[in-house]
Amino acid sequence: MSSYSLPEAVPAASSRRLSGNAVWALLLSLPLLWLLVFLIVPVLVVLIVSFFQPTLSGFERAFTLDNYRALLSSGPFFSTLLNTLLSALITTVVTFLVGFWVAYYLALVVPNLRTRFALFIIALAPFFTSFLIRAVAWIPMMGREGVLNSALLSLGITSQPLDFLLFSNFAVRVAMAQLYLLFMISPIFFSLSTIEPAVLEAARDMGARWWSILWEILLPLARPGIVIGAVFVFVLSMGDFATVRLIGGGASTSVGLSIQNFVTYMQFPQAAAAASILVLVTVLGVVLLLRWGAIGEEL
Amino acid sequence: MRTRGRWFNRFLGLYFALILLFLYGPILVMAVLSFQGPQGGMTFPMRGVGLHWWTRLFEVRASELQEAIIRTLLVAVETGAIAALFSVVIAFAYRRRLPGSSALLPMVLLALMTPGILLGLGMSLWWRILNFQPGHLALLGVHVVWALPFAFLVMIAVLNRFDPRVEESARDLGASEARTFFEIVLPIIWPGILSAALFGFTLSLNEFERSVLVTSQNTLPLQLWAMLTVQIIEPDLYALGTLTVLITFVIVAALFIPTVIGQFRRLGGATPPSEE
Amino acid sequence: MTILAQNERPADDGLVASGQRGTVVLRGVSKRFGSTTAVDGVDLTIPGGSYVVLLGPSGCGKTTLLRMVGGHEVADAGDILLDGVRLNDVPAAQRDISTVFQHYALFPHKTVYENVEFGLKMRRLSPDERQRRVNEALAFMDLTNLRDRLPKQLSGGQQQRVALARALVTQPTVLLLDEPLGDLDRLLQLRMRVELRTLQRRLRITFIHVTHNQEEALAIADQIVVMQNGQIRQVGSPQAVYRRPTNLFTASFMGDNNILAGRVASVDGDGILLECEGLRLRARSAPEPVVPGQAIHAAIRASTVRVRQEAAAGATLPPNCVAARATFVEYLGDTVKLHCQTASGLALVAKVPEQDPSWQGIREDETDLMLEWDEDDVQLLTS
Repeated sequence: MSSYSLPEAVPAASSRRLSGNAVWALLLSLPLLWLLVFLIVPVLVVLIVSFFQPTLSGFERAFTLDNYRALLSSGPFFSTLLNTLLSALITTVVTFLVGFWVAYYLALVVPNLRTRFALFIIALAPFFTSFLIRAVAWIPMMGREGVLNSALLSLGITSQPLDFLLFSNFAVRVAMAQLYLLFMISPIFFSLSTIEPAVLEAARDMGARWWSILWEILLPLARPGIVIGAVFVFVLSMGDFATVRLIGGGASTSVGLSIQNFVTYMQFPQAAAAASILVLVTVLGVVLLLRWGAIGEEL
Repeated sequence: MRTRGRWFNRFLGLYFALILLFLYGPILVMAVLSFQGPQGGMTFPMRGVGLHWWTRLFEVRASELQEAIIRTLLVAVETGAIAALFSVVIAFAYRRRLPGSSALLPMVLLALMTPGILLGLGMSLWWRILNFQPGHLALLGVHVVWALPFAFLVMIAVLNRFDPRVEESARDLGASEARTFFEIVLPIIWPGILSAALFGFTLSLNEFERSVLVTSQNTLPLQLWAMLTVQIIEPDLYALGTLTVLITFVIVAALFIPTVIGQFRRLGGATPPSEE
Repeated sequence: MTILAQNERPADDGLVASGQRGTVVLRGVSKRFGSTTAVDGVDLTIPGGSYVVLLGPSGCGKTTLLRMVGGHEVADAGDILLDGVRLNDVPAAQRDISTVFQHYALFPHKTVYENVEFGLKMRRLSPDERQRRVNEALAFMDLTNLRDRLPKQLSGGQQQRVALARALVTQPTVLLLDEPLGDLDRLLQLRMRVELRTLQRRLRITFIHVTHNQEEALAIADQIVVMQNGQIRQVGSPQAVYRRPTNLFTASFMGDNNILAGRVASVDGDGILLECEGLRLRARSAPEPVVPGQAIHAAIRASTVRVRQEAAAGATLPPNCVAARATFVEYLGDTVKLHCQTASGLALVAKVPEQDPSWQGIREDETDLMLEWDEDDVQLLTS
């Protein structure tokens, strides 16, 4: 506004901004294109192929509902779907019950900020390691001659090795809880970290005992983190097939594993139909979770 | 009440230690078992202690795995670079609320939430429809999709700490958009970009679920899967597992230790909890 | 009005203020954090129904002291008594004391109504009783039309009223306020401090208020407690603390004092003569007995210094009088601050009302001035 501002500087800057925006648009189109080609289209292709006619070596482009009809009228597929859903729900609930207190400890008990972040990263580190390796590592833990059975035997808790510790639904759920726990801990940790300590002190000042603080303050404030964590764990365990295959042996099934088997036998439309059903059920579950989360927001 | 709170907190500390044991226990057991003697099996007891399986890993397995290792590293480097580049672009666009950035955000979220098996299946079908050979590009495609959300999160965190006035003052002093970016912004945020790239590298290195249906050429995790499901497994697998875990931990340490120290410095150290 | 009832009743019964509830007594209270002593052997009696401000710079221990009274911190040593009952081991929630926290610490996910209701809910009052009392408290703090808002939808002043309503709904006998005006802009601060004072008068309960702002303390308090390094430096009415600081810390912290270091020259029946940095001062009295030769500090409030535009007449001037020039005339609106320098190089500040003609026409570094003050206004800082 001052009298010696340079009037020609204004148009120069704005034209530069314009060309800058064009460059940005160009730059932005790259990731956009990538996500279209390698994410959106593949997902749509699955939906489309699920309506194609299967042939011996693949599919032909003829519309049919037979793939769905066959799957939904098949008892084994149905029980596989139910087992997948049950495993995912159990894993979600278990990771919440176990993970909440880890996040609570890190965010609200550890006093020093540096220690807090260091411990968080120590807890986070296994997430980066190979998923397969971590699944493999369960075998010497849980097997008939594994660490857990040896410990139980030597402590005299059991008189013979427990077989259900490996190659069972139980083993699969324990392993999934371990593999996905961090997806639950992290968002809850971040939600709890935003709570001002004075808020908890105020609640205590007004006579709240620990369960009231948990119920009235911590859980409502952590709800966004809990919902995000639950969605993560639920989606991951719905789609799981490697853990089921490695830890479950033949004793456990999942839709993901069925999909993989269909692909092995080149039954692509069936695989696509199974995947679409899986997605539908998963999305339904996620919507329910998000709605539960949103109700909390409105109140 | 106060003392009970203290006991509860102490109990939680013990609980946290148990959780760490739960998370690390299997890995530790695996690491110990990789030092099995030559007659030893996949579980305890240890029949002797030695480097037998490690030597076997490097002498016999290495040549078998060489191709897969090189392929894995190549894809991981490319994934890291592309994911970092994309995350910078998206994070900047998002920060400036450029048109198009709002459409990208749900897509990034979708990338995070799509089950690996679904993406892998979709990719293999899509390539089949296009009559493309399944291979490197498809693999790289899904790896970047997997790494991008995490790299994006890193960049958002980095940019949140970046003072936009620095950028504005550079432009104010007459620097062009490009010069501002390369001379001012980039030097400040490049450690963040490196973190994003390392993040993507690690995720790609260990990625399995998306890859399994996409490519016919084995990466290391795919080779592992084949060994696990088809062959009879021996403790050299534990050695391989231990090695990859160690490499990953080194990368994680490189990623986070500077961040944590930086965070600590910025906050000026711990302050006593209750004085104003 | 139920909020008032508890303390109005004794007043209506004709009991005198000193017999009122809400008397807080501290005896030898100490608190250490690691190697630092936050509060160091504090003795203090806070009469029931009074408005006491703990004043001091950050880190002086005032907040720690407040938190010990509130039960948020455990004293390492000493006794804290409320109406004769030792509180040290009573949990925060069971003390008849409420706290308005710094930054208010409202529950971000609860509405105004739910925030205020919380304390009653924790005390397991019946829903009807809760509703009645919350509504009363909301009406009392003029919050009724905001009852369904969330804290983030409120202005700073409204948030503060919610924090007050939330603390008062449980009818405490003592209310603790930790920097309650710190988050507000200046205009709102000025208004809210009047409101706090009015509120305390209406409730007639004890308010203990912590601040680092001396102006706020002067405006609001019955008694000011000046603290430094975990210890009490001076206790007194705003006027006493402002006009008669007894120690160096209080004198400098209350601002606008000329503080001079010197020695006692002689003591006689009428007063005390001092030599301070080449200046002769005369004081009427000292807070504690002094002897000639004793090193001492003296404080002269800038607003008690009179200014005359004239050159020094004789070679020797009487005590409490000095020739100087203004190095800088600082115009502050209602007052004018003259930064002066004596011939010996001593810096002195005089503050005169804007309407006062004495400063008109003073040219910096040119006009010869005489600075003068009364011996009543020379404060000796002995402790």
